[in-house]
Amino acid sequence: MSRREWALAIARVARWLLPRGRGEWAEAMEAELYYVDDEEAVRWALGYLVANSRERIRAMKIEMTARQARRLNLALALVFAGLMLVVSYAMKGSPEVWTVIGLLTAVWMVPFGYLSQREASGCGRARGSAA
Amino acid sequence: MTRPRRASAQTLLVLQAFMAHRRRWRHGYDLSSETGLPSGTIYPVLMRLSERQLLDAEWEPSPTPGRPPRRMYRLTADGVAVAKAELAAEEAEAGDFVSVPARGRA
Repeated sequence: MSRREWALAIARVARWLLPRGRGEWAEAMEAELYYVDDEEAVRWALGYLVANSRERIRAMKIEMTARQARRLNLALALVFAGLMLVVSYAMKGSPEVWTVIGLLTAVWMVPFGYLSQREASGCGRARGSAA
Repeated sequence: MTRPRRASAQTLLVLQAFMAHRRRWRHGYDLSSETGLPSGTIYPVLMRLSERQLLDAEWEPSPTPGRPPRRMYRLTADGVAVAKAELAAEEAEAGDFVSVPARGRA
Protein backbone atom coordinates (compact mmCIF):
# COMPACT_ATOMS: atom_id res chain seq x y z
CA MET A 1 0.00 0.00 0.00
CA SER A 2 1.47 3.37 -1.04
CA ARG A 3 1.59 6.43 1.22
CA ARG A 4 -1.18 8.05 -0.79
CA GLU A 5 -3.40 5.01 -0.38
CA TRP A 6 -2.73 5.15 3.36
CA ALA A 7 -3.62 8.81 3.37
CA LEU A 8 -6.89 8.10 1.53
CA ALA A 9 -7.74 5.30 3.98
CA ILE A 10 -7.16 7.64 6.95
CA ALA A 11 -9.26 10.30 5.21
CA ARG A 12 -12.16 7.85 4.91
CA VAL A 13 -12.06 7.20 8.69
CA ALA A 14 -11.80 10.96 9.29
CA ARG A 15 -14.85 11.67 7.12
CA TRP A 16 -16.86 9.16 9.13
CA LEU A 17 -16.03 11.11 12.31
CA LEU A 18 -17.05 14.50 10.96
CA PRO A 19 -20.47 15.72 12.14
CA ARG A 20 -23.23 16.42 9.61
CA GLY A 21 -23.28 19.85 8.00
CA ARG A 22 -19.52 19.88 7.47
CA GLY A 23 -19.55 18.38 3.97
CA GLU A 24 -17.76 21.33 2.42
CA TRP A 25 -14.92 21.08 4.92
CA ALA A 26 -14.55 17.36 4.17
CA GLU A 27 -14.52 17.84 0.41
CA ALA A 28 -12.02 20.71 0.63
CA MET A 29 -9.59 18.80 2.84
CA GLU A 30 -9.89 15.57 0.89
CA ALA A 31 -9.39 17.36 -2.43
CA GLU A 32 -6.11 18.83 -1.14
CA LEU A 33 -4.86 15.28 -0.58
CA TYR A 34 -4.59 14.93 -4.37
CA TYR A 35 -2.34 17.99 -4.62
CA VAL A 36 0.08 17.49 -1.73
CA ASP A 37 3.13 15.37 -2.46
CA ASP A 38 3.33 11.75 -1.36
CA GLU A 39 5.55 12.55 1.63
CA GLU A 40 3.04 15.06 2.96
CA ALA A 41 -0.13 13.11 2.19
CA VAL A 42 -0.18 10.96 5.35
CA ARG A 43 0.59 13.95 7.58
CA TRP A 44 -2.19 15.93 5.88
CA ALA A 45 -4.66 13.07 6.37
CA LEU A 46 -3.71 12.71 10.06
CA GLY A 47 -4.31 16.44 10.51
CA TYR A 48 -7.70 15.95 8.90
CA LEU A 49 -8.41 13.12 11.35
CA VAL A 50 -7.43 15.27 14.35
CA ALA A 51 -9.53 18.23 13.14
CA ASN A 52 -12.57 16.03 12.56
CA SER A 53 -12.24 14.34 15.97
CA ARG A 54 -12.14 17.76 17.64
CA GLU A 55 -15.11 18.92 15.59
CA ARG A 56 -17.09 15.81 16.50
CA ILE A 57 -16.37 16.38 20.19
CA ARG A 58 -17.23 20.07 19.91
CA ALA A 59 -20.59 19.17 18.33
CA MET A 60 -21.38 16.73 21.15
CA LYS A 61 -20.04 18.88 23.99
CA ILE A 62 -23.35 20.43 24.96
CA GLU A 63 -25.51 17.39 25.45
CA MET A 64 -22.95 14.62 26.05
CA THR A 65 -23.42 12.76 29.33
CA ALA A 66 -20.75 10.78 31.20
CA ARG A 67 -22.31 7.57 29.92
CA GLN A 68 -22.15 8.73 26.29
CA ALA A 69 -18.54 9.85 26.82
CA ARG A 70 -17.66 6.39 28.16
CA ARG A 71 -19.34 4.69 25.18
CA LEU A 72 -17.64 6.97 22.66
CA ASN A 73 -14.29 6.45 24.37
CA LEU A 74 -14.73 2.69 24.12
CA ALA A 75 -15.82 2.92 20.46
CA LEU A 76 -12.79 5.08 19.64
CA ALA A 77 -10.48 2.67 21.49
CA LEU A 78 -11.84 -0.16 19.33
CA VAL A 79 -11.48 1.87 16.12
CA PHE A 80 -7.88 2.81 16.93
CA ALA A 81 -7.01 -0.72 18.07
CA GLY A 82 -8.41 -2.00 14.76
CA LEU A 83 -6.44 0.59 12.81
CA MET A 84 -3.24 -0.36 14.64
CA LEU A 85 -3.79 -4.04 13.89
CA VAL A 86 -4.39 -3.28 10.20
CA VAL A 87 -1.30 -1.05 10.08
CA SER A 88 0.95 -3.60 11.78
CA TYR A 89 -0.30 -6.35 9.46
CA ALA A 90 -0.07 -4.27 6.27
CA MET A 91 3.34 -2.78 7.10
CA LYS A 92 4.87 -5.98 8.50
CA GLY A 93 8.65 -5.78 8.26
CA SER A 94 8.71 -2.08 7.43
CA PRO A 95 10.77 0.11 9.78
CA GLU A 96 8.07 2.80 9.56
CA VAL A 97 5.42 0.68 11.26
CA TRP A 98 6.23 2.01 14.75
CA THR A 99 6.20 5.60 13.51
CA VAL A 100 2.69 5.13 12.12
CA ILE A 101 1.51 3.35 15.28
CA GLY A 102 3.04 6.11 17.40
CA LEU A 103 1.23 8.74 15.31
CA LEU A 104 -2.07 6.86 15.62
CA THR A 105 -1.61 6.66 19.40
CA ALA A 106 -0.88 10.39 19.55
CA VAL A 107 -4.02 11.15 17.53
CA TRP A 108 -6.07 8.83 19.73
CA MET A 109 -4.88 10.65 22.86
CA VAL A 110 -6.69 13.84 21.74
CA PRO A 111 -10.29 12.53 22.07
CA PHE A 112 -9.28 10.07 24.81
CA GLY A 113 -8.06 12.85 27.11
CA TYR A 114 -11.13 14.96 26.56
CA LEU A 115 -13.62 12.10 26.91
CA SER A 116 -11.96 10.76 30.07
CA GLN A 117 -12.20 14.21 31.59
CA ARG A 118 -15.84 14.35 30.55
CA GLU A 119 -16.52 10.95 32.10
CA ALA A 120 -14.84 11.93 35.36
CA SER A 121 -16.67 15.26 35.64
CA GLY A 122 -19.99 13.53 34.86
CA CYS A 123 -19.37 10.90 37.56
CA GLY A 124 -18.44 13.61 40.07
CA ARG A 125 -21.66 15.45 39.34
CA ALA A 126 -23.71 12.26 39.61
CA ARG A 127 -22.12 11.38 42.96
CA GLY A 128 -22.63 14.95 44.15
CA SER A 129 -26.32 14.93 43.26
CA ALA A 130 -26.85 11.53 44.87
CA ALA A 131 -25.34 12.68 48.17
CA MET B 1 -18.52 44.69 30.72
CA THR B 2 -17.33 41.98 28.34
CA ARG B 3 -14.26 42.42 26.18
CA PRO B 4 -14.68 41.49 22.51
CA ARG B 5 -13.11 38.09 21.87
CA ARG B 6 -9.70 38.40 20.23
CA ALA B 7 -8.52 36.19 17.38
CA SER B 8 -6.24 33.27 18.25
CA ALA B 9 -2.56 33.28 17.29
CA GLN B 10 -3.34 30.75 14.53
CA THR B 11 -6.14 32.90 13.11
CA LEU B 12 -3.82 35.90 13.12
CA LEU B 13 -1.23 33.92 11.15
CA VAL B 14 -3.85 32.96 8.57
CA LEU B 15 -5.14 36.54 8.32
CA GLN B 16 -1.58 37.77 7.90
CA ALA B 17 -1.02 35.29 5.05
CA PHE B 18 -4.21 36.47 3.32
CA MET B 19 -3.27 40.12 3.78
CA ALA B 20 0.13 39.54 2.15
CA HIS B 21 -1.67 38.86 -1.17
CA ARG B 22 -5.05 40.41 -0.56
CA ARG B 23 -6.77 39.74 -3.91
CA ARG B 24 -5.24 36.35 -4.60
CA TRP B 25 -7.20 33.12 -4.17
CA ARG B 26 -5.40 30.75 -1.81
CA HIS B 27 -5.59 26.98 -1.29
CA GLY B 28 -5.45 25.25 2.10
CA TYR B 29 -2.12 23.57 1.37
CA ASP B 30 -0.63 26.81 0.14
CA LEU B 31 -1.70 28.56 3.38
CA SER B 32 -0.47 25.66 5.48
CA SER B 33 2.97 25.83 3.85
CA GLU B 34 3.16 29.60 4.26
CA THR B 35 2.05 29.77 7.89
CA GLY B 36 3.60 26.49 9.04
CA LEU B 37 0.26 25.48 10.55
CA PRO B 38 -0.80 21.83 10.10
CA SER B 39 -3.89 20.84 8.13
CA GLY B 40 -5.77 20.05 11.34
CA THR B 41 -5.41 23.68 12.41
CA ILE B 42 -5.76 25.51 9.09
CA TYR B 43 -9.16 24.11 8.08
CA PRO B 44 -11.00 24.82 11.34
CA VAL B 45 -9.69 28.41 11.11
CA LEU B 46 -10.82 28.71 7.45
CA MET B 47 -14.25 27.31 8.27
CA ARG B 48 -14.80 29.70 11.19
CA LEU B 49 -13.71 32.66 9.05
CA SER B 50 -16.06 31.53 6.25
CA GLU B 51 -18.95 31.18 8.70
CA ARG B 52 -18.35 34.76 9.83
CA GLN B 53 -18.53 35.84 6.13
CA LEU B 54 -14.92 37.00 6.27
CA LEU B 55 -13.84 34.71 3.44
CA ASP B 56 -15.11 34.07 -0.07
CA ALA B 57 -14.71 30.47 -1.21
CA GLU B 58 -14.82 28.95 -4.68
CA TRP B 59 -14.08 25.62 -6.32
CA GLU B 60 -11.25 25.65 -8.83
CA PRO B 61 -11.52 22.91 -11.47
CA SER B 62 -8.38 20.83 -11.79
CA PRO B 63 -6.32 21.16 -14.97
CA THR B 64 -5.33 17.49 -14.55
CA PRO B 65 -8.04 14.94 -15.33
CA GLY B 66 -8.86 12.58 -12.48
CA ARG B 67 -8.16 15.11 -9.75
CA PRO B 68 -11.02 16.71 -7.83
CA PRO B 69 -11.59 20.48 -7.86
CA ARG B 70 -9.81 22.46 -5.14
CA ARG B 71 -11.36 24.86 -2.67
CA MET B 72 -9.90 28.38 -2.88
CA TYR B 73 -10.31 31.17 -0.34
CA ARG B 74 -9.99 34.95 -0.41
CA LEU B 75 -10.79 37.69 2.10
CA THR B 76 -14.10 39.53 1.62
CA ALA B 77 -14.28 43.32 2.13
CA ASP B 78 -15.39 42.66 5.72
CA GLY B 79 -12.58 40.15 6.06
CA VAL B 80 -10.01 42.73 5.01
CA ALA B 81 -11.40 45.22 7.55
CA VAL B 82 -11.38 42.64 10.36
CA ALA B 83 -7.89 41.42 9.42
CA LYS B 84 -6.57 45.01 9.44
CA ALA B 85 -8.14 45.67 12.84
CA GLU B 86 -6.96 42.39 14.38
CA LEU B 87 -3.41 42.73 13.06
CA ALA B 88 -3.22 46.38 14.18
CA ALA B 89 -4.48 45.43 17.66
CA GLU B 90 -1.91 42.64 17.83
CA GLU B 91 0.86 45.02 16.78
CA ALA B 92 -0.24 47.58 19.37
CA GLU B 93 -0.28 44.90 22.06
CA ALA B 94 3.17 43.71 21.07
CA GLY B 95 4.33 47.35 21.21
CA ASP B 96 2.94 47.74 24.74
CA PHE B 97 4.65 44.55 25.79
CA VAL B 98 8.01 45.83 24.57
CA SER B 99 7.54 49.33 26.01
CA VAL B 100 6.72 48.21 29.59
CA PRO B 101 10.21 47.01 30.54
CA ALA B 102 11.66 49.97 28.66
CA ARG B 103 9.62 52.31 30.89
CA GLY B 104 10.63 50.31 33.93
CA ARG B 105 14.29 50.84 33.18
CA ALA B 106 13.92 54.60 32.65
